Amino acid sequence: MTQPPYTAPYRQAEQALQESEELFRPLAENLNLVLWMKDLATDRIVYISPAYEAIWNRTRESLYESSQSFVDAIHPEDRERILAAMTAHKQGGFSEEYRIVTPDGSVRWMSARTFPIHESDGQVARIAGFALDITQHKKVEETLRSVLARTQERYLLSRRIGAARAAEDVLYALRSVTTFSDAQRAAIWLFDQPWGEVTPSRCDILVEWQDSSDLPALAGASYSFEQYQFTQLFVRDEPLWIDDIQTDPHVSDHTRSLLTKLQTRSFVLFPLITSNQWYGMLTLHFSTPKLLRPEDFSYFEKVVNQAAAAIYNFLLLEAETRARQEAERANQVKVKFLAMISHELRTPLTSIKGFATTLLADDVAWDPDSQRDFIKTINQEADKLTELIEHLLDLSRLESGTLRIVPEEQHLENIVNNVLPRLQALAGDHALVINLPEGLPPVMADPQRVEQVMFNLVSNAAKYSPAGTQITLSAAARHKDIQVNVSDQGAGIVPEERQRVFEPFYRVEKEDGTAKSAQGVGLGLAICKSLVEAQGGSIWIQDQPGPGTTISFTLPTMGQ
Amino acid sequence: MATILVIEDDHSIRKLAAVNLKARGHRVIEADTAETGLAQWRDGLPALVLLDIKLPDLRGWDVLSAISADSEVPTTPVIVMTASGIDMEVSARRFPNIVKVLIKPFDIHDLVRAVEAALGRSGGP
Repeated sequence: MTQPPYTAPYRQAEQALQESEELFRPLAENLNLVLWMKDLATDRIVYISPAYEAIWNRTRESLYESSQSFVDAIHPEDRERILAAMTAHKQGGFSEEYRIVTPDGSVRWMSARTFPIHESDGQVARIAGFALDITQHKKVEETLRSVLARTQERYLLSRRIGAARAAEDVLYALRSVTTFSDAQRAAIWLFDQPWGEVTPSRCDILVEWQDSSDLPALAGASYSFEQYQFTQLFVRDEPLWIDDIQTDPHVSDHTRSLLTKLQTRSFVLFPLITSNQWYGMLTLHFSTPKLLRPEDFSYFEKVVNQAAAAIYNFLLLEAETRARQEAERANQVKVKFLAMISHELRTPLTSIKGFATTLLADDVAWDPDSQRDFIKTINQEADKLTELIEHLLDLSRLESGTLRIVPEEQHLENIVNNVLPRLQALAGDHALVINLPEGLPPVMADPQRVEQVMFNLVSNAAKYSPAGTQITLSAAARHKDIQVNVSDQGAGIVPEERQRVFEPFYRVEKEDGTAKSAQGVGLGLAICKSLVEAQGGSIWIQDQPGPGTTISFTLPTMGQ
Repeated sequence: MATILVIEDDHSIRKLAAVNLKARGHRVIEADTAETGLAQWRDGLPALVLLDIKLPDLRGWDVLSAISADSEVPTTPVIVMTASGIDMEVSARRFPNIVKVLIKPFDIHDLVRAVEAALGRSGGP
């Protein structure tokens, strides 16, 4: 180095500088802090500590050559701001946090400051700076912020769920959770039974929201497990994230086409489990392939579990209310039924008691014809009472399953032949026509009960059609059973009543307004229905144009 | 001799009442429905009505209301026949012209006594 004149003081200064640099250098070399010095005249970095290489992942030489590499390392989003700050603080005073991108693509957060170095004459020839890697710090800051945000979110969510009056409110409350609010659609699916040992067969949508009413709804349809292969899509233990429905193997073809119609591209499924009952699913749908961080999942799981419990409670409440209403209704029906029975029993008894006490009256002497008439009435009413009691007992036994029905292989022709004389007696002044085709297959039936049904039907036909008209008994073989029909040419039964006639005590209002009591007790068809159904058949009134009634019932053929 | 209107849809019970009342010297008009009953009541102006409250479609109550409410015809005493005793006790208070509630099945003597009491009270025609 050439020594200028007057070197002594200069050399002293340089020595002092060197000494302090010697103190300074080990410090600089060992700190994780990047220290540098920049010469303002040349705008070049004259010194940068080794930590630069570790943090910026670039050589110091590259920086000494040109400070452009420093600028290039700044994250594009922060570059404008930092360059502006650097320009503004050319002579020191820069204080910023910014991101750098290392050559391998990783991002680091730096906190940097510069300050001027004053010469003895007060001029600023150089500035010094330091940069501290605060990436960890930032991460912690970010985590704390996110935890705080989440805590607030959870608090708000809890309040909203607490205020919910229905499952719908709970789903809407979930909208306030970040990411959930970005979803295009959310739905709560309910299985038709909790998924334990037995897999449910269907599920329905309990409640749904979507961010646009232009899109089709999931709700309103019932989804079959079989068809959509939900067993491969619905998972119990954890949420399932489907980032692209086109490629994910959990999604069956049917499900894919359903979701495509809904414009869902990715979705996440949460199992709804409360009190160890897996009762449904919560799905969140997105219209674009969406990236979710795995660490977010555990937060979402907690949130959904909270919602699941609230929804479960609403479902329980609903079920209980329904059950209570059902029980009340059933009780009402029972009370009404008992009242009807009481009335029905008392009516023939009134005649019996009445005419008996009439005959016993001291103040009137009845002539023999009247006496005979009264006694006949007593007798008839007693028969009516007996029939009523028999019917009631039959009905009661059928209801409780204690009526003995013994199905055996029977030929319909035989049953009809057996009961024919009694049917003809019943038909009275009606023409009874039997129409049985040849070669009917045998049926599985209890002959006594089939006779009882035919008896009842023919009796009704006779009661409800004018004298002299025809009553027809016919049969035809069908695929799995034989259908038997009894037709009359009476006034017919209006469509509104065709279901009701099978109710106990229900009697059709005759057009001529004839008192119902003349028609019998009203239990016959109810009993026929129970008898037929107990043997595996069904009974109904035919839809037919024109007057007259045809009642049909079926009996299963052998091998069913 | 008083005219008694019997409104009862069961033909045996109707016959029971008619036969006993006629044998004791009363004139009996019979009706088996609410419509016929009310028509007979307006035309025949009976001194007493014997009414089965459980006519089809609960029309017995309609008859009772009509008989009680009609201001043109003076109140006719009514003897009600019913299979349900308890309900009637309460309802009878609503209709002051019900003079007796007979619960089925009844002894014919009770009916006869009630009729004679009702006619005696109202003085008969």
